[in-house]
Amino acid sequence: MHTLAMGISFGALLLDGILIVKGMGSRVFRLFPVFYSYIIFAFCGSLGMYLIYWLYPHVYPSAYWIYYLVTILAEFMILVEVSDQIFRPFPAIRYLGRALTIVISFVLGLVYILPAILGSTHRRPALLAFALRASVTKAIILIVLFSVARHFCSQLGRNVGGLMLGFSIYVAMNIAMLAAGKAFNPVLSANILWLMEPLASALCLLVWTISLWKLVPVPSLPAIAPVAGRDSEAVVLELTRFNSELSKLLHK
Amino acid sequence: MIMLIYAAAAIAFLILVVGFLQKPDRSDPDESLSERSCAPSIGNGPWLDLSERIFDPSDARWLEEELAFPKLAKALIIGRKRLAIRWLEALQSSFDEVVRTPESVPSDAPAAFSAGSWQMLWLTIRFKLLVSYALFVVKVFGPYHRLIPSFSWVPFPQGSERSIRRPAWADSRSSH
Repeated sequence: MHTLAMGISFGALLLDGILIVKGMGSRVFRLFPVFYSYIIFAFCGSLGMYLIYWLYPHVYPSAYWIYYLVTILAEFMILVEVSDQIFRPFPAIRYLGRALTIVISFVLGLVYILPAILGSTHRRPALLAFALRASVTKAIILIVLFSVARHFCSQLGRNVGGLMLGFSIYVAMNIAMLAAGKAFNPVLSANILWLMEPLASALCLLVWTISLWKLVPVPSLPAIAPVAGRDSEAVVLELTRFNSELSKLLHK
Repeated sequence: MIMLIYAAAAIAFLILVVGFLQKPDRSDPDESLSERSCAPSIGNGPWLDLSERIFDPSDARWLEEELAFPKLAKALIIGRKRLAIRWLEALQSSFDEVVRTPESVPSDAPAAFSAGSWQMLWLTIRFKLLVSYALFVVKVFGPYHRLIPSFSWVPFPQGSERSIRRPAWADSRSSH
């Protein structure tokens, strides 16, 4: 199992490298700068982890958890960047994805994630609970983003849709894996983490590599295509008129 | 047990995501066409005036109190409730069309996020919240219920109520 986990881990590292090399030369890199920064960080971090594992094995558990927690926090930044792209063509709700991501992260961070760290007396359960709850929060954010995008008929396109699908696979596997880690004894849970963590990363990176292979523009919406686009000022004016009409009705 | 719940939640989450990634099914084009046709623009005066008629309780009251036709008045209220819901839904569809309108000039990432974006987002969220609230009130209480609560049920202290309604100088003037 150890060899299998190492093999999957090397495969994930290879996909990481392919994603970076392919992204460097294309316009996708400019569209998702935070995402590519994260990928570069993950690539360098994984190499660093291998070095620590072989040279300083006694430091590895602590180093691994630090690296893992930093990536968990960095993933929230990617969610913000991806959410920005979902509603980008629509000036009225351009910031909606970002606002939803930040508000959900903040609220759940306060009432759901933070108590897990503060309430735990031991380091291991606290770290597992933190990682699990952060993953659940990301899953909630993704579901909300998908539903709101569906409500406003925003087509995700191959790049953004692929990024969100990859992320979803990673988050779902993390939830199952961390829940198992919390439920089973430390030895068994360490074995589960050892195999499942690189597997989740590899699957996610595979989806990301396929979806970000080239820049695919979002197709225009059929219901909107015949209508001429408007500039931001005209949209503000119309939104204000709608709001004032509704306010008049409410005050009757 | 908790592990099983989390595992089930993770699987359900993935199924939901795959469902969301499917293209929306536009199976009934006639329905969407009729929906669009009953969503007029905000500049349509007669359509806006229609709300005055729908939300005006005077004719239902006239039927019930002056002509003494309570059943007819009840039927009118039910019909008006349906109309009010359709009117609010049409207003919402019309608003959604404005929100879904793409920008005329496609712009690159740095320029795309203008200062007015937050203002537009606030107006969108405000409208969505208010229209959902209005729909809720109309569906639950009917079209002639006050949409903004009167707060008459709040037991204000007698003195403070008096001071709000009648300023002190008015009392002093009446005593003279």
